[in-house]
Amino acid sequence: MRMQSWMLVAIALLGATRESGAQFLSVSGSPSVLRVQSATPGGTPAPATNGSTTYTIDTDNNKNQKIVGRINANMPDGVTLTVTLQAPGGAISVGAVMLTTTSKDLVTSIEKNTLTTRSITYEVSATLQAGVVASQSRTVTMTVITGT
Amino acid sequence: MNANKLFALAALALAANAAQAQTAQQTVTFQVDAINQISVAGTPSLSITTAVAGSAPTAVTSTGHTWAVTTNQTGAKITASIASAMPTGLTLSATMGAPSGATSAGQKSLGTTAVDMVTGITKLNATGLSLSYQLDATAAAGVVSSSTRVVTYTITAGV
Repeated sequence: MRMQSWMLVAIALLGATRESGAQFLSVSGSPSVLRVQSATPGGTPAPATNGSTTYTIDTDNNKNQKIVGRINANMPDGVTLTVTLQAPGGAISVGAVMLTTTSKDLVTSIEKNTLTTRSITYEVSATLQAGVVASQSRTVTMTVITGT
Repeated sequence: MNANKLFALAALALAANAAQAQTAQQTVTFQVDAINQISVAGTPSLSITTAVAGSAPTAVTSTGHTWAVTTNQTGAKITASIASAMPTGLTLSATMGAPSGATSAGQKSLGTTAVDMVTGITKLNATGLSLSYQLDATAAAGVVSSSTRVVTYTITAGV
């Protein structure tokens, strides 16, 4: 079969994709509603948590990778959203990170050839000053990039 | 479109997807409900046993009890009531200390209709607030055997 130029370009693209070792990140879905709804008399509201979702990462040949995260809009006054990503083997979880519109490290020092699924835990907490907050959403964007 | 071009387009799509898969998104939905909580502590006991000659029986008090509150709303209040009326000639009263910014109604006689005890409670949590009781009896009440009343305190939501 005579190799067409289209075919050559396609093969080159596929090869380049694999040789550059593009990282891969996916999540298992979105958590159910986090609802702050109770307090011990005399105490502050109890945070709502959800640890039902996971992320899957494939760093391929890329070393010194990290995952950063941010949200698309600020949280209401007095309400805080934190996320904790369980670290892959050999990597370091930053622990509970308060999410803002600025990207923050969530997991660092992810080694090359890491292919694994780990847990994600969200927590919403509110001060009494926050008052009643109607149901709303934020989009959490997580990105795997090069950096320690 | 021939097979070669289809293959090329598929490769392009695959390469593009591989590059974009470095990012993942989740939608986090949350809300904060109205929260109003109250608790009381203590088991008061009140016995009227004396009088000054020529005067009504001497009232007795029970102090040192406490209550606690949490609200994330504005203008919550505490009311109190008892399940059944006191015997004729006996009056049970309660006094609740107010948390910061709120107002205590002072000593209030308790009956089967709820009465305001503390008002204007706004977005706070507080513990160890004072709670005391007083029992008064008229001479006409006579001898009253030991009995109990359950005092129910209710926090009514603000806005």
